[in-house]
Amino acid sequence: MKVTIRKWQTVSSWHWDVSEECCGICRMQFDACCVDCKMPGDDCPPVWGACKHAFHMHCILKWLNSNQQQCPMCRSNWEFVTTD
Amino acid sequence: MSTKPQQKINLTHLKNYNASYQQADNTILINTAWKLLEDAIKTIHSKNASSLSFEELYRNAYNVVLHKHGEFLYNNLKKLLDTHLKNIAQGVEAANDEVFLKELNRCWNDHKTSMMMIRDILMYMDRTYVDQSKVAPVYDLGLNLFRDNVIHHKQIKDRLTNILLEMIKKERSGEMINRLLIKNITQMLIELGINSKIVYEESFENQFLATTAKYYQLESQQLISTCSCPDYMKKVETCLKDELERVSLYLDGSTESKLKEVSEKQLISNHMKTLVKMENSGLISMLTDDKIEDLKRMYILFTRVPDGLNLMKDVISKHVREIGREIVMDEEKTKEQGTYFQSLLDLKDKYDNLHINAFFNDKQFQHTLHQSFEYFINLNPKSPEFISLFIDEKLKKGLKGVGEEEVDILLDKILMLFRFIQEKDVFEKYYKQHLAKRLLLGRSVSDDAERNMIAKLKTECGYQFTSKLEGMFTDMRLSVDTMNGFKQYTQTLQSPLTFELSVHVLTTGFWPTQNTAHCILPREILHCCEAFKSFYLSQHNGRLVVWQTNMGTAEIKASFPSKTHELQVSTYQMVILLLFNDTQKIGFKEIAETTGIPIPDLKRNLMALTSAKNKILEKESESKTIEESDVFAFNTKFKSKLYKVKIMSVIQKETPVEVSETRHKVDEDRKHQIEASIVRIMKARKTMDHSNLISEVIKQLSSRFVPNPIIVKKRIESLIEREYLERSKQDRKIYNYMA
Repeated sequence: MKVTIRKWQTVSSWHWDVSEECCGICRMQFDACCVDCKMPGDDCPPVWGACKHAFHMHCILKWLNSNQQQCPMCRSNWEFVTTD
Repeated sequence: MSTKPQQKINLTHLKNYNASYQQADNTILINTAWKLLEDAIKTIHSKNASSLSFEELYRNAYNVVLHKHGEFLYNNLKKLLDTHLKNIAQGVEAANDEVFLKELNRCWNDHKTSMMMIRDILMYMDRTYVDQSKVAPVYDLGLNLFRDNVIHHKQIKDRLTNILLEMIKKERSGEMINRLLIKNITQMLIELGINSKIVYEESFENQFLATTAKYYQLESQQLISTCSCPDYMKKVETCLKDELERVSLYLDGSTESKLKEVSEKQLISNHMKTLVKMENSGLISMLTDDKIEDLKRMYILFTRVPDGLNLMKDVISKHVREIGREIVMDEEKTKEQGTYFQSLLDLKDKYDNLHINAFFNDKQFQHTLHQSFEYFINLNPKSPEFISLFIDEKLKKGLKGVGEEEVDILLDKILMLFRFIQEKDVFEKYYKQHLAKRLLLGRSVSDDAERNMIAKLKTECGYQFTSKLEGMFTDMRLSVDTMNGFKQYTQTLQSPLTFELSVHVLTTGFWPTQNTAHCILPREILHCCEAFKSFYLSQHNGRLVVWQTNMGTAEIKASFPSKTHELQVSTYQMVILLLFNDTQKIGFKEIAETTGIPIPDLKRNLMALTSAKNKILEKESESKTIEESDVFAFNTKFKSKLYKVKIMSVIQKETPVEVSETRHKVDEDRKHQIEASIVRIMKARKTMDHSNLISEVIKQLSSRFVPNPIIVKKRIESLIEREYLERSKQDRKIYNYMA
């Protein structure tokens, strides 16, 4: 008796590879999106600072653009850290 | 100088002399004049006026009045008319009942004609004497005297009323009467009132209304004990129409409203309750049998009387609530969600129809109906689930071959009922589950219909309500793009995939996905999975992918001794079947261990694989359920006429545990929403007292669910603990927002 797979239609789900549950600025979950987005996606990923605090990209950019250069959580100077 | 006063005295003397002379002369003159006028008036009364000279009479009357004898003339005229009318009254009184009215009418007409002539002759008196001494003008004097002498005559007054009423009574019982005559008489009564209707009211109307009331009291009592409700209403309609006609034919217009009130009170108000509650023909059976005409009639009749519509509304509301309650509490019906909901839709259709066609789109009725529907739909806590299931069923197969417009109409109808649901968040949970199944299994009949429904929900509940649902559609679209990319990517791979892999990638949070349920995939599958994962992650940074093995389907080739078949199975079933490539027989526990499939799911899927219809696997024990001691083997004797065999997965009914889990999730969500709402309100208002805050929260959230005040209170307390709010130091019932 032999069983072989011809076709598999499967389902997977993705979520951000982030340990914090929600963004420190908008307090929304990373799996949900920031207040300006309609759905999570590559436009607005979570980003990390050198201080290891994570925020929605849109959220932290808004913060930095308002002439604040410190992390809103720990007030250390903000520097983007890439995940790769 | 000295002569002047002398002269003056002389002049006065002369004047006095002249006056007395003239006075003596005048008395003769005036008496002659009056004699002339008196004769003339008598001639007028005997209808020989043509022989008279108007000019001569007018001149004489003029002279009398000019010489300041107006009062004399007026009083004489009054005496003369008085005598004349007393004679007339005797004539009228002597007439027997049959000609009484005719006689009276004749006299009246004669009197009017003669009074007009007399008025013309004495016109100068009307202009000067009457005006100055504020007495009734000649013509009105005639009317007053006619009233006092004839109409108010002891022997005439009551007789007149009685004869009139008698005639009307005859007409009510169907006899022909001389309407014109009555019209003349009532007209006379009006005219006699001069600018007021007091004579008409006293001599006729009051008694008429009283008899009408009595008449209809008896009549209605007799009717209601013999007729059914619709028949009674038809008769009442005719009666009311007849009465209205009566007014326009021979009564004064002012009687209309009073007559209406009196007859409506007797015919409708007094019997309203009996009518509505009449067994087998009352309001309820009219509703049950869709008697539109009768309902319309009832509505029209009941509009006329105070509280009529309220009574109708109350009865309808009570009835609808009862019917609805029967549907939502009927265990048979609630088992089959389809019929449950169809019955509600039918009920809604029925009452919408009645509302439009029988109740003239009355806003109050609509409100009552809505309230009743809201009441009973929310009696059954499963209503939100059932609505979603009903939509699911329609979107899966119910809409095949149905035109776009009809779909739209149906969806609108469903939405009408959806509006009555208080727990819209529970509905959302189920809708999400059902939509997920439709999308992932490709069960949806029409994408347009799906989007139409979402659009409708969006207009109904706002953007937040549907954003996740819309996200699900976006995920489906993105997955197609991803798969196209993946196909190209697989061609560049060194070791090609052993089977066709298609993946739906879902955004966590949009879908009702579970992170806990995953099973151990065989190596050959894992290889493909890894290929996809590395492709996907190369395109999307910073993501993690989790396989949702509780979903998904597979087509697998299975070679049986007799024939090779293609099996359509679920992911779990595929994993189970793959085990049998290596071994002949496997026990339940071993399957569970190697696959890692959660026990309830494993049991369900083994059931499907060992079912009598498609017995792919053989089970050693005979028991109907799957036991943990069971051992399974390939069914070598499997036979099917079809090449493709679809293994029906055992329908997953929500287990009680799952139900309470869903409930728990909903309650958790609500906590957040209540807190968010409290903070929003307090941020805007800064301070607010307890009861206002609670009612405001309930108002804000009512589009999604109706929060329990006790829970709202708990949330407030929790927010105080976390220092979002504080109690005012002056008044503990007042909260302050803490920035």
